[in-house]
Amino acid sequence: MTIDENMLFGFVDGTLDARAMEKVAMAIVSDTALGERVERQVELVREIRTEMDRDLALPVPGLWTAAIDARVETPLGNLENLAAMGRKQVSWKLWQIGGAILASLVIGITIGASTASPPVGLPGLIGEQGGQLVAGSELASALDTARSDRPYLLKDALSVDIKHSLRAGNGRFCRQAAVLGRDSVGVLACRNADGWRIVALTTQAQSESTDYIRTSGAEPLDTAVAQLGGQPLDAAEERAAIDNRWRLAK
Amino acid sequence: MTPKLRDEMIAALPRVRRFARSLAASDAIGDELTQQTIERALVSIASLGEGVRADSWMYRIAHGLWTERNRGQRSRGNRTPARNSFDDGQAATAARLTMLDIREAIADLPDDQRVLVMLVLVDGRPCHEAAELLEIPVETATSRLSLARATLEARVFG
Repeated sequence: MTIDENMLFGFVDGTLDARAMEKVAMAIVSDTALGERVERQVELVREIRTEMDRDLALPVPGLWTAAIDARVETPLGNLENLAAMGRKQVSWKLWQIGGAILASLVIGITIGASTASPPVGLPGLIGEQGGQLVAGSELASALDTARSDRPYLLKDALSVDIKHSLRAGNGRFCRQAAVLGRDSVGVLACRNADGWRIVALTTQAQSESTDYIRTSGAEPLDTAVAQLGGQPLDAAEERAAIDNRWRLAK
Repeated sequence: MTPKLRDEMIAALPRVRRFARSLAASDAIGDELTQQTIERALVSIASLGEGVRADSWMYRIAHGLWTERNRGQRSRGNRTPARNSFDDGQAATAARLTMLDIREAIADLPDDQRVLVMLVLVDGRPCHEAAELLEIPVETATSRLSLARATLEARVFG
């Protein structure tokens, strides 16, 4: 009884029909070498899956989900709808950086979140909630109330400088800010019902755990902002959003 | 994009990343490829046919991007070359490759075999579905996968 490779692999995978499965099973009984091959293939597939499935356990970078979230149609309309209303088009500056740098950056952030340890340079300003980085109370206050280009003073000689406020493509409000102190840190956060979710950040601080990628400025955040799509707020819109506590208009 | 598609895309991200990392044989390049896949998917949502699974669609985009990238020049990424675990003289029966070595053994496969290992052995797709996703005849897919399995078996078990 001849069992070719494809039949053997089909037996291992359980993809043969009942008759073929029985044929291979009978052959294994009388052919020790064939039986050993089946055992090796079963073990091989099991080990491959065990190894490759480790990637599934990695936290998904927030920027990836945010980019998808930004394209979900909402009652508020998306970027195209806003543009159709005659408002100015977004023209965020896109810096020429490699996607790997950005992806690595955000992965670093997510890893940081999973360890629940605040990033170097942001003691107490960034917290973790359900595996997601969120603004701590002090940073959240700054993001709630600070106006663009007016430094918001924090304790310990830190200040927050809001760079932009925008309405992302999914209608959510987001703000890009720099936390200035011994180390400059860039933050991109989006408001949800529970507070400010950190979508991306850059830090020039050296992380002892190397969970964070050092960057030379805010360029990756500009790219992250661009990926959110949406509409920058002018001063009056920003003031209105602050006064309305960043609640979404009905 | 509908909320349903959004949910499907986000649910697929870990598997798309696993697939991309394997295609690239590199974690960093694989994550970059995943990022590019998301970007390409978001600007081509209209190309998603009725009834097509979001994960299969993203896999196809990732594979297409990787093929474009490697056209003319194969990039192997930053994994270290696979070690021969039998160099130390241990008996073959005792010298199982470590998990890292298994990853390296997969990385050493030709691209067209590695992608089938990922789709069929790791992702659990039927061979005909993998062939359809890769737009190759099912016989070709079966043959390539058989070669890959035999190669991996020889690497792992000597």
